[in-house]
Amino acid sequence: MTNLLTTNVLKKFQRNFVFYTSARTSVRGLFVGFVLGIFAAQLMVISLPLQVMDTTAIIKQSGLIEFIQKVEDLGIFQEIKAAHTGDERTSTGPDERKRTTRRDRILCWVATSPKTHSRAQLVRETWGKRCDKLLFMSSKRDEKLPDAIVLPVNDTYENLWGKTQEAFRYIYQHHLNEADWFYKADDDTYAVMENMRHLLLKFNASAPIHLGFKYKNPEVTQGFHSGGPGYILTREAVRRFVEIGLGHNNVTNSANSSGSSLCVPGHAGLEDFNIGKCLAKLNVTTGDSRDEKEMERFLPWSLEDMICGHLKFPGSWFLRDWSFYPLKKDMECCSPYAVSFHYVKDYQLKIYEYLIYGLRLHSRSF
Amino acid sequence: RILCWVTTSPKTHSRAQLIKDTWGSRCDKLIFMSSIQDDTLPDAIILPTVNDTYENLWGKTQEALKYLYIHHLEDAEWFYKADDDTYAVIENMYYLLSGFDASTALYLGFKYKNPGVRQGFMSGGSGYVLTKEAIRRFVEIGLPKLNSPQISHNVCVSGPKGLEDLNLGSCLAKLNVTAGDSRDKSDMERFLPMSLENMMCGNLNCPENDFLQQWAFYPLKTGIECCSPYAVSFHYVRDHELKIYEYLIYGLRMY
Repeated sequence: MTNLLTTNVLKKFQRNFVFYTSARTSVRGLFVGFVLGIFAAQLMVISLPLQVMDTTAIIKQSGLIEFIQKVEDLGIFQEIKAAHTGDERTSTGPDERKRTTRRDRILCWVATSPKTHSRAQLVRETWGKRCDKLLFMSSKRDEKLPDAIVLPVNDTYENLWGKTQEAFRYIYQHHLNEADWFYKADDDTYAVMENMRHLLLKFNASAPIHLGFKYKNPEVTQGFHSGGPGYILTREAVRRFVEIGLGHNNVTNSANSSGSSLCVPGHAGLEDFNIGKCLAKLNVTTGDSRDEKEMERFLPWSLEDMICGHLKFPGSWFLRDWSFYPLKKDMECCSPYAVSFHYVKDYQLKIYEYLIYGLRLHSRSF
Repeated sequence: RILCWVTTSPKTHSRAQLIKDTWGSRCDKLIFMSSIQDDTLPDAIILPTVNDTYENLWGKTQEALKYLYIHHLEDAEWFYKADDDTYAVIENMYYLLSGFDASTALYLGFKYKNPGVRQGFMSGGSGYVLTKEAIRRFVEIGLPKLNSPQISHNVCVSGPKGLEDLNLGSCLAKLNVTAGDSRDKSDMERFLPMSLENMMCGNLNCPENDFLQQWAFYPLKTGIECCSPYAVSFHYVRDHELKIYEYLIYGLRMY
């Protein structure tokens, strides 16, 4: 049993370490080995009696997480992406990345439902695996999605607002300290996590802010973010939303259920509009997630519509009429550092994965 | 240098403009072969005496190659044929071709096996690339024999009808034009004849993929392994999808 747990924990760390080291120097390898050795020894001591101990708890206990965080801050371990020579598609070289020492943790939660659990699996196999933590929120567990988190909500499109509330409540209760940013996506969303991390570096993770594709609305002066490509909240935003917005603390004190909540009560309603409205009341600011050239990074409609919509919809068009910032046409619609795409259904998730991560461009060196 | 020639027809001339706006501009020379010129495609090359239908594709290919032989043989070393629902990655095509000798009689593409053509033949859908010598042999030797009433047995299938890719392949084989292996170092295919969804085929129900598995010359993998990181061309990329591929491949960058 002890060995099993040790290997499990070591495997979890190996995953992070392999990502950060490429055994470039033997000194680093030695260092890692030393750390792991000490850790393994510690584990032997605390591992009895065994039961089902939460791995994270053990690691926290031994202070290893803080230790690694410090080491990361020193920039010793670097992200090593496939640095293919002649590959023109990564825009930063390894040297530039050395200077990026801050690595916020992103928790991704995907809203799914029993009819589309197969999509959830595809998300897991493609972009989902690049999140620091990935959760699927549904109304049922089944063989296709055995680790779905079951929310106490009637799983219909009309009740999406209820689902969002319950999802954040769940995250608040169980995962609030596991991440700095909390990204909500649909199961037909495709996110480019590297570009998301790059975007987030511009913002203060401890501030009360949220990011996404901004729609304007007379009831929400600062705008609200589209639920389709998803939106990202800081930890403080989640805290305010659940504690104050949903009146969480009041709810748990059953004797004092004054039922006061700042957000629209009940489960029905447009989830993105409702959360946007509520966060505005909680003084959670909407950031500007466009790039330096003011091109959008979160893309709420299908790529075809984003690029060619101005031809397809010459008259009135919701996206154009209600987007907070002026919408650009054709290829300018979409930032080279786009963070997420919507309406990427089923197998298209794999196609995007291939076209974005699999396909390489060989540079013309002749 | 690569000359790209795209077969199109009046109904789909709008796709030609999209190709010009996307991958077509990366060819050294770009030519559209159709049956008429119109406002959407005023610079189409009109191929003579061919009824522009799917059944007559073989006739169209013959006329196209003849046209290239007469007017453009010196404009390039490689001649790439594509449909108007093809998306090509020209940089990767240069990379592929740099491994072959352009002065030989050679053609490349996605290879199908066929009992009548031992060396296999290239799928028309994902496009194929011919060397100058291959075109020369086809037009100088293959075509006359085709149309000559005196020859009792034809080197190439005569008349405009028939599967253009199979007929071309069988003809080139008889002319000793080699059907090369265009896979990458990991044996992954670079020319992709079916839509990406069918190439990967994760679902249980992919009749197109079953067809491929049966007739592909080399063993084919499914899932993301189907397709080389240095893929050269994609098929069934229609209309606005051309812009989507253009954005995802050339526009999107990874930080």
